[in-house]
Amino acid sequence: MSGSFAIEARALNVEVGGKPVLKELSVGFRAAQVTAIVGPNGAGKTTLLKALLRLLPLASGQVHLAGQDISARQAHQLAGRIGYLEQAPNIYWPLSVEALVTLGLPAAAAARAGALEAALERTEIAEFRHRPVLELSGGERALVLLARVLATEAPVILADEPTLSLDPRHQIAILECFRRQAKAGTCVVLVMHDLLMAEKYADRIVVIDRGGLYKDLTMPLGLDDQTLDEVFGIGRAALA
Amino acid sequence: MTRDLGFSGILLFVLGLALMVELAVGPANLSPLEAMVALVAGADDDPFTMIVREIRLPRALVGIAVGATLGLAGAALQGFLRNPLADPGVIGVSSSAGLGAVIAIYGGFASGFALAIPLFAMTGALLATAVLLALSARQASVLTIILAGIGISTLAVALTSLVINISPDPFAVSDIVMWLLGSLQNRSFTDLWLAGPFILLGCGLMLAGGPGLRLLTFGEETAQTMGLDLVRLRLFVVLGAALAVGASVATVGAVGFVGLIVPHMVRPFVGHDPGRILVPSAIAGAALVLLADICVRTIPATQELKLGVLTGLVGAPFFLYLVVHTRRVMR
Repeated sequence: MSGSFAIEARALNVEVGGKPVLKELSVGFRAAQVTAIVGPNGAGKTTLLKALLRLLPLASGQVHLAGQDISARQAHQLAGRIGYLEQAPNIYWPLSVEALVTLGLPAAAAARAGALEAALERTEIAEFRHRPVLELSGGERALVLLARVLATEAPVILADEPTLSLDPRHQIAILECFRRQAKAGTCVVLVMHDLLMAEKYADRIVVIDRGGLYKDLTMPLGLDDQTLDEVFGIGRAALA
Repeated sequence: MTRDLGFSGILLFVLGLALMVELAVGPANLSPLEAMVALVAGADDDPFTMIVREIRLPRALVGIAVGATLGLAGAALQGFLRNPLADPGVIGVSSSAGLGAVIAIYGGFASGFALAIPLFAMTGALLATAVLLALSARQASVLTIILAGIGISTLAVALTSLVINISPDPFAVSDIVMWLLGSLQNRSFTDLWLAGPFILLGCGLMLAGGPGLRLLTFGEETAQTMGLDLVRLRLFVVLGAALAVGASVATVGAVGFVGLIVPHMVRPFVGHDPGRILVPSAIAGAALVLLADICVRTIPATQELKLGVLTGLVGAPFFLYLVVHTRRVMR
Protein backbone atom coordinates (compact mmCIF):
# COMPACT_ATOMS: atom_id res chain seq x y z
CA MET A 1 0.00 0.00 0.00
CA SER A 2 2.72 2.44 1.04
CA GLY A 3 4.48 1.86 -2.29
CA SER A 4 1.76 3.81 -4.06
CA PHE A 5 2.45 6.99 -2.12
CA ALA A 6 4.58 9.67 -3.72
CA ILE A 7 5.50 10.94 -0.26
CA GLU A 8 4.60 9.47 3.07
CA ALA A 9 4.97 10.17 6.80
CA ARG A 10 5.23 7.06 8.98
CA ALA A 11 4.59 7.37 12.73
CA LEU A 12 6.15 10.83 12.78
CA ASN A 13 6.98 12.49 16.05
CA VAL A 14 8.31 16.01 15.72
CA GLU A 15 9.12 18.46 18.49
CA VAL A 16 9.41 22.21 18.09
CA GLY A 17 11.06 24.11 20.92
CA GLY A 18 10.94 20.98 23.08
CA LYS A 19 7.16 20.61 22.67
CA PRO A 20 5.68 17.67 20.76
CA VAL A 21 3.83 19.00 17.72
CA LEU A 22 3.35 15.86 15.62
CA LYS A 23 2.41 12.70 17.50
CA GLU A 24 2.70 9.32 15.79
CA LEU A 25 1.32 10.86 12.59
CA SER A 26 1.07 8.54 9.61
CA VAL A 27 -0.25 9.82 6.31
CA GLY A 28 0.66 9.32 2.66
CA PHE A 29 0.05 11.43 -0.44
CA ARG A 30 -0.48 10.06 -3.94
CA ALA A 31 0.64 11.22 -7.34
CA ALA A 32 -1.90 12.84 -9.69
CA GLN A 33 -3.97 14.10 -6.76
CA VAL A 34 -4.51 17.40 -5.01
CA THR A 35 -4.62 16.72 -1.28
CA ALA A 36 -5.68 19.50 1.07
CA ILE A 37 -4.41 19.40 4.63
CA VAL A 38 -6.80 21.28 6.89
CA GLY A 39 -6.97 21.84 10.60
CA PRO A 40 -7.07 24.62 13.17
CA ASN A 41 -4.10 26.87 13.89
CA GLY A 42 -1.42 25.00 15.79
CA ALA A 43 -2.66 21.58 14.65
CA GLY A 44 0.73 20.76 13.08
CA LYS A 45 0.02 21.27 9.36
CA THR A 46 3.07 23.42 8.60
CA THR A 47 5.22 21.23 10.86
CA LEU A 48 4.13 18.20 8.83
CA LEU A 49 5.17 19.89 5.57
CA LYS A 50 8.55 20.90 7.02
CA ALA A 51 9.12 17.40 8.35
CA LEU A 52 8.33 15.93 4.93
CA LEU A 53 10.73 18.46 3.36
CA ARG A 54 13.39 17.47 5.92
CA LEU A 55 13.61 21.03 7.17
CA LEU A 56 12.83 19.87 10.71
CA PRO A 57 14.51 17.05 12.63
CA LEU A 58 12.40 14.01 13.47
CA ALA A 59 12.13 12.84 17.07
CA SER A 60 11.12 9.48 15.62
CA GLY A 61 9.35 8.02 12.61
CA GLN A 62 10.22 8.02 8.95
CA VAL A 63 9.62 9.99 5.77
CA HIS A 64 9.48 8.07 2.50
CA LEU A 65 9.76 9.69 -0.93
CA ALA A 66 8.79 7.46 -3.86
CA GLY A 67 9.22 4.49 -1.53
CA GLN A 68 12.71 5.52 -0.43
CA ASP A 69 13.45 6.33 3.20
CA ILE A 70 14.68 9.95 3.29
CA SER A 71 14.52 10.39 7.07
CA ALA A 72 18.30 10.81 7.31
CA ARG A 73 18.47 13.30 4.44
CA GLN A 74 18.55 17.07 4.70
CA ALA A 75 16.36 19.41 2.69
CA HIS A 76 19.10 20.49 0.29
CA GLN A 77 19.74 16.89 -0.69
CA LEU A 78 16.18 16.59 -2.04
CA ALA A 79 16.30 19.52 -4.47
CA GLY A 80 14.37 18.82 -7.64
CA ARG A 81 12.44 15.98 -6.00
CA ILE A 82 10.13 18.08 -3.81
CA GLY A 83 8.92 21.56 -4.77
CA TYR A 84 8.04 23.84 -1.85
CA LEU A 85 5.96 26.97 -1.69
CA GLU A 86 6.30 28.37 1.78
CA GLN A 87 3.73 30.34 3.73
CA ALA A 88 3.94 34.10 3.00
CA PRO A 89 7.19 33.73 1.06
CA ASN A 90 9.67 36.57 0.83
CA ILE A 91 11.56 37.77 -2.21
CA TYR A 92 14.52 39.78 -1.01
CA TRP A 93 15.93 41.23 -4.23
CA PRO A 94 14.07 42.92 -7.11
CA LEU A 95 15.03 40.36 -9.75
CA SER A 96 13.06 39.98 -12.95
CA VAL A 97 10.35 37.35 -13.14
CA GLU A 98 12.42 35.35 -15.61
CA ALA A 99 15.52 35.43 -13.39
CA LEU A 100 13.53 34.29 -10.36
CA VAL A 101 11.77 31.44 -12.12
CA THR A 102 15.06 30.05 -13.43
CA LEU A 103 16.94 30.34 -10.11
CA GLY A 104 18.22 26.98 -9.02
CA LEU A 105 17.38 25.22 -12.30
CA PRO A 106 20.00 23.04 -14.01
CA ALA A 107 22.68 25.01 -15.84
CA ALA A 108 21.95 23.51 -19.29
CA ALA A 109 20.53 26.40 -21.30
CA ALA A 110 18.03 24.38 -23.33
CA ALA A 111 16.58 22.64 -20.28
CA ARG A 112 16.30 25.96 -18.47
CA ALA A 113 14.56 27.63 -21.38
CA GLY A 114 12.08 24.77 -21.78
CA ALA A 115 11.22 24.67 -18.07
CA LEU A 116 10.90 28.45 -17.96
CA GLU A 117 8.55 28.66 -20.93
CA ALA A 118 6.37 25.81 -19.67
CA ALA A 119 6.11 27.32 -16.17
CA LEU A 120 5.30 30.81 -17.49
CA GLU A 121 2.67 29.35 -19.78
CA ARG A 122 1.05 27.22 -17.08
CA THR A 123 0.80 30.15 -14.69
CA GLU A 124 -0.13 32.62 -17.48
CA ILE A 125 2.49 35.19 -16.47
CA ALA A 126 4.58 35.28 -19.64
CA GLU A 127 3.66 38.94 -20.13
CA PHE A 128 5.46 39.85 -16.87
CA ARG A 129 8.65 37.96 -17.65
CA HIS A 130 10.95 40.97 -17.86
CA ARG A 131 9.45 42.99 -15.01
CA PRO A 132 11.09 43.25 -11.57
CA VAL A 133 9.05 41.01 -9.32
CA LEU A 134 8.80 43.58 -6.52
CA GLU A 135 6.80 45.82 -8.89
CA LEU A 136 4.08 43.18 -9.23
CA SER A 137 0.92 42.89 -7.14
CA GLY A 138 0.66 40.28 -4.39
CA GLY A 139 -1.43 38.00 -6.62
CA GLU A 140 1.01 38.27 -9.51
CA ARG A 141 3.94 37.57 -7.19
CA ALA A 142 2.18 34.45 -5.92
CA LEU A 143 1.89 33.23 -9.51
CA VAL A 144 5.60 33.92 -10.08
CA LEU A 145 6.51 31.89 -7.00
CA LEU A 146 4.26 29.09 -8.19
CA ALA A 147 5.93 29.24 -11.62
CA ARG A 148 9.30 28.90 -9.86
CA VAL A 149 8.14 25.69 -8.21
CA LEU A 150 6.58 24.33 -11.42
CA ALA A 151 9.78 25.02 -13.36
CA THR A 152 11.63 22.54 -11.15
CA GLU A 153 9.33 19.81 -12.53
CA ALA A 154 9.42 18.13 -9.12
CA PRO A 155 7.09 15.11 -8.87
CA VAL A 156 5.88 16.30 -5.45
CA ILE A 157 4.76 19.85 -4.60
CA LEU A 158 4.09 20.93 -1.04
CA ALA A 159 2.47 24.35 -0.62
CA ASP A 160 1.72 26.03 2.69
CA GLU A 161 -1.37 28.23 2.40
CA PRO A 162 -0.62 29.22 -1.19
CA THR A 163 -3.72 31.42 -1.44
CA LEU A 164 -3.05 33.38 1.75
CA SER A 165 -3.94 37.10 1.38
CA LEU A 166 -4.93 36.74 -2.27
CA ASP A 167 -8.09 38.10 -3.88
CA PRO A 168 -10.63 35.51 -5.14
CA ARG A 169 -9.45 35.78 -8.77
CA HIS A 170 -5.85 34.96 -7.89
CA GLN A 171 -6.91 32.26 -5.41
CA ILE A 172 -8.79 30.53 -8.20
CA ALA A 173 -5.92 31.02 -10.67
CA ILE A 174 -3.46 29.41 -8.23
CA LEU A 175 -5.72 26.50 -7.36
CA GLU A 176 -6.57 25.87 -11.03
CA CYS A 177 -2.83 25.69 -11.72
CA PHE A 178 -2.42 23.10 -8.99
CA ARG A 179 -5.30 21.06 -10.40
CA ARG A 180 -3.75 21.08 -13.89
CA GLN A 181 -0.42 20.08 -12.38
CA ALA A 182 -2.02 17.15 -10.54
CA LYS A 183 -3.75 16.04 -13.72
CA ALA A 184 -0.32 15.93 -15.33
CA GLY A 185 0.74 13.43 -12.64
CA THR A 186 2.21 15.55 -9.85
CA CYS A 187 1.49 14.87 -6.20
CA VAL A 188 0.16 18.20 -4.92
CA VAL A 189 -0.26 18.76 -1.17
CA LEU A 190 -1.78 22.05 -0.03
CA VAL A 191 -2.18 23.32 3.51
CA MET A 192 -5.43 25.30 3.40
CA HIS A 193 -7.64 27.25 5.76
CA ASP A 194 -10.45 27.95 3.29
CA LEU A 195 -12.51 24.81 3.77
CA LEU A 196 -14.91 25.54 0.90
CA MET A 197 -12.01 25.99 -1.52
CA ALA A 198 -10.48 22.78 -0.18
CA GLU A 199 -13.70 20.91 -0.86
CA LYS A 200 -13.94 22.41 -4.34
CA TYR A 201 -10.37 21.92 -5.56
CA ALA A 202 -8.95 18.95 -3.64
CA ASP A 203 -9.35 15.29 -4.52
CA ARG A 204 -8.82 14.42 -0.92
CA ILE A 205 -8.93 16.25 2.42
CA VAL A 206 -6.71 15.25 5.33
CA VAL A 207 -7.83 16.72 8.64
CA ILE A 208 -5.04 17.22 11.18
CA ASP A 209 -5.84 18.02 14.79
CA ARG A 210 -3.50 18.32 17.79
CA GLY A 211 -0.62 16.75 15.92
CA GLY A 212 -2.46 13.66 14.75
CA LEU A 213 -4.58 12.50 11.83
CA TYR A 214 -8.22 13.19 12.65
CA LYS A 215 -9.88 12.18 9.40
CA ASP A 216 -8.97 11.28 5.83
CA LEU A 217 -11.71 12.14 3.33
CA THR A 218 -11.80 11.34 -0.37
CA MET A 219 -13.91 13.70 -2.46
CA PRO A 220 -16.76 14.15 -3.18
CA LEU A 221 -17.15 13.36 0.51
CA GLY A 222 -17.04 16.80 2.12
CA LEU A 223 -16.25 17.79 5.66
CA ASP A 224 -19.00 16.42 7.86
CA ASP A 225 -20.76 18.32 10.63
CA GLN A 226 -19.04 16.32 13.36
CA THR A 227 -15.56 17.21 12.00
CA LEU A 228 -16.46 20.87 11.61
CA ASP A 229 -17.77 20.96 15.15
CA GLU A 230 -15.05 18.92 16.89
CA VAL A 231 -12.00 20.22 15.02
CA PHE A 232 -12.94 23.75 14.03
CA GLY A 233 -15.72 24.52 16.49
CA ILE A 234 -18.07 25.73 13.76
CA GLY A 235 -21.14 24.54 11.90
CA ARG A 236 -21.63 24.14 8.15
CA ALA A 237 -23.67 27.35 8.10
CA ALA A 238 -20.61 29.33 9.19
CA LEU A 239 -18.77 28.35 5.99
CA ALA A 240 -21.38 29.72 3.63
CA MET B 1 26.02 37.06 -18.78
CA THR B 2 27.48 38.99 -21.74
CA ARG B 3 26.42 42.21 -20.05
CA ASP B 4 28.21 41.11 -16.85
CA LEU B 5 31.43 40.36 -18.71
CA GLY B 6 31.22 43.65 -20.58
CA PHE B 7 30.72 45.61 -17.37
CA SER B 8 33.52 43.74 -15.61
CA GLY B 9 35.74 44.51 -18.63
CA ILE B 10 34.96 48.23 -18.31
CA LEU B 11 35.69 48.07 -14.56
CA LEU B 12 39.02 46.33 -15.25
CA PHE B 13 39.87 49.08 -17.75
CA VAL B 14 39.09 51.74 -15.12
CA LEU B 15 41.16 49.80 -12.58
CA GLY B 16 44.05 49.65 -15.05
CA LEU B 17 43.89 53.41 -15.61
CA ALA B 18 43.70 54.02 -11.86
CA LEU B 19 46.75 51.79 -11.36
CA MET B 20 48.72 53.78 -13.94
CA VAL B 21 47.83 57.06 -12.25
CA GLU B 22 48.49 55.61 -8.77
CA LEU B 23 52.01 54.62 -9.84
CA ALA B 24 52.62 58.13 -11.19
CA VAL B 25 51.29 60.14 -8.26
CA GLY B 26 53.61 61.24 -5.44
CA PRO B 27 56.38 63.63 -4.52
CA ALA B 28 58.57 62.33 -7.35
CA ASN B 29 56.67 63.73 -10.30
CA LEU B 30 56.11 61.21 -13.13
CA SER B 31 53.59 60.91 -15.92
CA PRO B 32 51.56 57.68 -16.01
CA LEU B 33 53.50 56.64 -19.10
CA GLU B 34 56.88 57.28 -17.43
CA ALA B 35 55.71 55.32 -14.41
CA MET B 36 54.73 52.36 -16.59
CA VAL B 37 58.06 52.48 -18.43
CA ALA B 38 59.91 52.61 -15.10
CA LEU B 39 57.86 49.67 -13.83
CA VAL B 40 58.31 47.46 -16.87
CA ALA B 41 61.63 48.45 -18.41
CA GLY B 42 63.43 50.72 -15.94
CA ALA B 43 67.03 50.08 -14.93
CA ASP B 44 67.31 48.55 -11.47
CA ASP B 45 69.53 51.36 -10.18
CA ASP B 46 67.34 54.15 -11.56
CA PRO B 47 65.83 56.10 -8.63
CA PHE B 48 62.47 56.51 -10.37
CA THR B 49 62.35 52.80 -11.08
CA MET B 50 63.07 52.07 -7.43
CA ILE B 51 60.36 54.50 -6.34
CA VAL B 52 57.80 52.95 -8.65
CA ARG B 53 58.73 49.33 -7.96
CA GLU B 54 59.55 49.45 -4.27
CA ILE B 55 57.24 52.14 -2.93
CA ARG B 56 54.33 52.80 -5.26
CA LEU B 57 53.70 49.32 -6.66
CA PRO B 58 53.26 47.60 -3.27
CA ARG B 59 51.09 50.51 -2.14
CA ALA B 60 48.92 50.08 -5.25
CA LEU B 61 48.76 46.29 -4.95
CA VAL B 62 47.78 46.51 -1.28
CA GLY B 63 45.12 49.03 -2.30
CA ILE B 64 43.79 46.68 -4.98
CA ALA B 65 43.74 43.71 -2.58
CA VAL B 66 42.03 45.68 0.17
CA GLY B 67 39.53 47.33 -2.17
CA ALA B 68 38.64 44.05 -3.84
CA THR B 69 38.19 42.44 -0.43
CA LEU B 70 35.94 45.19 0.88
CA GLY B 71 33.82 45.32 -2.29
CA LEU B 72 33.46 41.55 -2.44
CA ALA B 73 32.79 41.18 1.29
CA GLY B 74 30.15 43.92 1.14
CA ALA B 75 28.37 42.21 -1.76
CA ALA B 76 28.61 38.75 -0.17
CA LEU B 77 27.38 39.92 3.23
CA GLN B 78 24.51 41.94 1.76
CA GLY B 79 23.44 38.82 -0.14
CA PHE B 80 23.91 36.50 2.81
CA LEU B 81 22.16 38.74 5.32
CA ARG B 82 19.63 39.81 2.65
CA ASN B 83 20.15 43.35 3.79
CA PRO B 84 21.28 46.07 1.38
CA LEU B 85 22.67 48.13 4.25
CA ALA B 86 25.03 45.43 5.54
CA ASP B 87 28.79 45.95 5.24
CA PRO B 88 31.94 44.11 6.35
CA GLY B 89 31.87 45.93 9.70
CA VAL B 90 28.63 44.17 10.63
CA ILE B 91 30.42 40.94 11.59
CA GLY B 92 32.69 42.73 14.05
CA VAL B 93 35.97 41.54 12.54
CA SER B 94 37.12 45.01 11.42
CA SER B 95 36.83 46.43 14.94
CA SER B 96 38.59 43.40 16.41
CA ALA B 97 41.47 43.71 13.95
CA GLY B 98 41.66 47.39 14.90
CA LEU B 99 41.81 46.44 18.58
CA GLY B 100 44.69 44.06 17.88
CA ALA B 101 46.62 46.83 16.12
CA VAL B 102 45.89 49.27 18.93
CA ILE B 103 47.25 46.80 21.49
CA ALA B 104 50.40 46.41 19.37
CA ILE B 105 50.94 50.18 19.38
CA TYR B 106 49.97 50.66 23.05
CA GLY B 107 52.20 47.82 24.19
CA GLY B 108 55.18 49.22 22.34
CA PHE B 109 55.49 46.12 20.16
CA ALA B 110 55.02 48.18 16.99
CA SER B 111 58.06 50.35 17.65
CA GLY B 112 60.38 47.35 18.01
CA PHE B 113 58.99 45.12 15.28
CA ALA B 114 57.55 46.45 12.03
CA LEU B 115 55.14 43.56 11.50
CA ALA B 116 53.70 43.73 15.00
CA ILE B 117 50.69 45.77 13.91
CA PRO B 118 49.49 43.47 11.12
CA LEU B 119 50.27 40.37 13.19
CA PHE B 120 48.38 41.61 16.23
CA ALA B 121 45.54 42.84 14.03
CA MET B 122 45.30 39.47 12.27
CA THR B 123 45.23 37.77 15.66
CA GLY B 124 42.39 40.07 16.73
CA ALA B 125 40.50 39.31 13.51
CA LEU B 126 40.97 35.55 13.85
CA LEU B 127 39.89 35.55 17.50
CA ALA B 128 36.77 37.50 16.55
CA THR B 129 36.13 35.06 13.70
CA ALA B 130 36.37 32.10 16.08
CA VAL B 131 33.96 33.74 18.53
CA LEU B 132 31.58 34.66 15.70
CA LEU B 133 31.57 31.14 14.29
CA ALA B 134 31.08 29.65 17.76
CA LEU B 135 28.15 31.99 18.47
CA SER B 136 26.60 31.43 15.05
CA ALA B 137 26.99 27.66 15.07
CA ARG B 138 24.94 25.17 13.15
CA GLN B 139 21.37 26.39 13.56
CA ALA B 140 22.08 30.13 13.82
CA SER B 141 19.72 32.54 12.13
CA VAL B 142 20.78 35.66 10.26
CA LEU B 143 19.64 37.69 13.25
CA THR B 144 21.95 35.71 15.55
CA ILE B 145 24.90 36.40 13.27
CA ILE B 146 24.12 40.12 13.10
CA LEU B 147 23.65 40.35 16.87
CA ALA B 148 26.85 38.36 17.50
CA GLY B 149 28.70 40.69 15.10
CA ILE B 150 27.32 43.79 16.82
CA GLY B 151 28.30 42.37 20.21
CA ILE B 152 31.86 41.60 19.10
CA SER B 153 32.20 44.97 17.39
CA THR B 154 30.87 46.90 20.39
CA LEU B 155 33.23 45.10 22.75
CA ALA B 156 36.23 45.68 20.45
CA VAL B 157 35.41 49.39 20.11
CA ALA B 158 34.96 49.70 23.88
CA LEU B 159 38.31 48.01 24.53
CA THR B 160 39.97 50.24 21.90
CA SER B 161 38.53 53.29 23.67
CA LEU B 162 39.77 51.91 26.98
CA VAL B 163 43.31 51.55 25.63
CA ILE B 164 43.23 55.11 24.28
CA ASN B 165 41.75 56.30 27.57
CA ILE B 166 44.40 54.76 29.84
CA SER B 167 47.39 55.25 27.57
CA PRO B 168 49.98 57.44 29.39
CA ASP B 169 51.86 58.14 26.15
CA PRO B 170 50.33 60.91 23.99
CA PHE B 171 52.49 59.84 21.04
CA ALA B 172 51.10 56.31 21.24
CA VAL B 173 47.57 57.74 21.32
CA SER B 174 48.37 59.81 18.25
CA ASP B 175 49.78 56.73 16.48
CA ILE B 176 46.69 54.72 17.42
CA VAL B 177 44.27 57.37 16.14
CA MET B 178 46.23 57.86 12.91
CA TRP B 179 46.39 54.10 12.29
CA LEU B 180 42.67 53.71 12.90
CA LEU B 181 41.96 56.30 10.21
CA GLY B 182 43.25 53.92 7.54
CA SER B 183 46.01 54.51 5.02
CA LEU B 184 48.02 52.85 2.25
CA GLN B 185 51.05 54.97 3.11
CA ASN B 186 54.36 53.08 3.44
CA ARG B 187 52.80 49.69 2.74
CA SER B 188 55.35 47.20 1.46
CA PHE B 189 55.50 43.83 -0.25
CA THR B 190 55.97 42.32 3.22
CA ASP B 191 52.49 43.54 4.16
CA LEU B 192 51.16 42.02 0.97
CA TRP B 193 52.82 38.63 1.60
CA LEU B 194 51.49 38.61 5.15
CA ALA B 195 47.89 39.50 4.33
CA GLY B 196 47.73 38.04 0.82
CA PRO B 197 47.11 34.38 1.68
CA PHE B 198 44.26 35.25 4.06
CA ILE B 199 42.77 37.66 1.53
CA LEU B 200 43.00 35.10 -1.29
CA LEU B 201 41.53 32.32 0.83
CA GLY B 202 38.75 34.57 2.14
CA CYS B 203 37.85 35.92 -1.30
CA GLY B 204 37.88 32.39 -2.74
CA LEU B 205 35.45 31.22 -0.06
CA MET B 206 33.12 34.16 -0.66
CA LEU B 207 33.15 33.63 -4.44
CA ALA B 208 32.36 29.94 -3.91
CA GLY B 209 29.25 31.04 -2.03
CA GLY B 210 27.83 32.84 -5.08
CA PRO B 211 25.33 30.19 -6.23
CA GLY B 212 24.03 29.78 -2.68
CA LEU B 213 23.58 33.53 -2.27
CA ARG B 214 21.35 33.53 -5.37
CA LEU B 215 19.08 30.88 -3.85
CA LEU B 216 18.84 32.86 -0.62
CA THR B 217 16.79 35.40 -2.59
CA PHE B 218 13.79 33.30 -1.48
CA GLY B 219 14.80 33.04 2.18
CA GLU B 220 16.50 30.22 4.04
CA GLU B 221 13.80 27.54 4.06
CA THR B 222 12.88 27.71 0.38
CA ALA B 223 16.55 28.02 -0.58
CA GLN B 224 17.34 24.81 1.29
CA THR B 225 14.60 22.96 -0.59
CA MET B 226 16.21 24.26 -3.80
CA GLY B 227 19.54 22.67 -2.92
CA LEU B 228 21.24 25.19 -0.63
CA ASP B 229 23.49 23.72 2.06
CA LEU B 230 22.98 26.57 4.51
CA VAL B 231 25.62 25.45 6.99
CA ARG B 232 28.27 25.34 4.27
CA LEU B 233 27.24 28.69 2.82
CA ARG B 234 27.37 30.31 6.28
CA LEU B 235 30.89 28.96 6.72
CA PHE B 236 31.96 30.16 3.28
CA VAL B 237 30.62 33.68 3.63
CA VAL B 238 31.21 34.40 7.31
CA LEU B 239 34.64 32.76 7.48
CA GLY B 240 35.63 34.11 4.06
CA ALA B 241 34.62 37.67 4.91
CA ALA B 242 36.23 37.45 8.34
CA LEU B 243 39.57 36.20 7.00
CA ALA B 244 39.79 38.62 4.08
CA VAL B 245 38.47 41.70 5.89
CA GLY B 246 40.51 40.93 8.99
CA ALA B 247 43.67 40.71 6.90
CA SER B 248 42.76 43.92 5.05
CA VAL B 249 42.13 45.92 8.21
CA ALA B 250 45.32 44.46 9.68
CA THR B 251 47.23 45.87 6.72
CA VAL B 252 45.74 49.32 6.16
CA GLY B 253 43.49 50.13 9.12
CA ALA B 254 39.81 50.91 8.91
CA VAL B 255 38.58 52.00 5.48
CA GLY B 256 34.88 52.53 5.90
CA PHE B 257 31.93 52.59 3.48
CA VAL B 258 33.68 50.87 0.54
CA GLY B 259 32.00 47.55 1.30
CA LEU B 260 28.67 49.24 1.81
CA ILE B 261 28.49 51.43 -1.26
CA VAL B 262 30.30 49.41 -3.95
CA PRO B 263 27.56 46.76 -4.40
CA HIS B 264 25.03 49.58 -4.82
CA MET B 265 27.20 51.19 -7.48
CA VAL B 266 27.37 47.88 -9.35
CA ARG B 267 23.69 46.85 -9.20
CA PRO B 268 22.37 49.40 -11.74
CA PHE B 269 24.66 47.78 -14.33
CA VAL B 270 24.44 44.05 -13.56
CA GLY B 271 21.16 43.81 -11.67
CA HIS B 272 20.34 42.67 -8.13
CA ASP B 273 21.29 39.00 -8.46
CA PRO B 274 23.45 38.51 -5.33
CA GLY B 275 25.67 35.96 -7.06
CA ARG B 276 26.32 38.03 -10.16
CA ILE B 277 27.43 41.17 -8.34
CA LEU B 278 30.33 39.48 -6.52
CA VAL B 279 33.06 39.75 -9.17
CA PRO B 280 32.10 43.25 -10.41
CA SER B 281 31.97 44.43 -6.78
CA ALA B 282 35.50 43.14 -6.17
CA ILE B 283 36.86 44.95 -9.23
CA ALA B 284 34.89 48.12 -8.48
CA GLY B 285 36.10 48.04 -4.86
CA ALA B 286 39.71 47.80 -6.00
CA ALA B 287 39.24 50.70 -8.44
CA LEU B 288 37.45 52.81 -5.84
CA VAL B 289 40.20 52.39 -3.22
CA LEU B 290 42.89 53.24 -5.78
CA LEU B 291 40.96 56.32 -6.92
CA ALA B 292 40.47 57.36 -3.29
CA ASP B 293 44.19 56.91 -2.66
CA ILE B 294 44.99 59.02 -5.71
CA CYS B 295 42.74 61.73 -4.27
CA VAL B 296 44.35 61.68 -0.81
CA ARG B 297 47.75 62.04 -2.47
CA THR B 298 46.76 64.91 -4.73
CA ILE B 299 44.43 66.97 -2.52
CA PRO B 300 46.54 69.85 -1.18
CA ALA B 301 46.78 69.56 2.62
CA THR B 302 49.33 70.20 5.35
CA GLN B 303 49.69 66.44 5.64
CA GLU B 304 48.36 63.58 3.52
CA LEU B 305 44.67 62.90 4.16
CA LYS B 306 43.94 59.46 5.54
CA LEU B 307 42.16 57.04 3.21
CA GLY B 308 39.49 56.17 5.76
CA VAL B 309 38.73 59.87 6.23
CA LEU B 310 38.12 60.38 2.52
CA THR B 311 36.04 57.22 2.05
CA GLY B 312 34.00 58.26 5.08
CA LEU B 313 33.47 61.79 3.79
CA VAL B 314 32.29 60.50 0.42
CA GLY B 315 30.59 57.36 1.73
CA ALA B 316 28.44 58.85 4.47
CA PRO B 317 26.33 61.11 2.19
CA PHE B 318 26.06 58.21 -0.26
CA PHE B 319 24.83 56.05 2.61
CA LEU B 320 22.08 58.55 3.40
CA TYR B 321 21.10 58.56 -0.27
CA LEU B 322 20.97 54.75 -0.13
CA VAL B 323 18.61 54.78 2.83
CA VAL B 324 16.13 56.88 0.84
CA HIS B 325 16.68 54.98 -2.44
CA THR B 326 16.48 51.55 -0.80
CA ARG B 327 13.20 52.45 0.88
CA ARG B 328 11.76 53.05 -2.58
CA VAL B 329 13.29 50.14 -4.54
CA MET B 330 13.13 47.40 -1.87
CA ARG B 331 9.63 48.12 -0.60
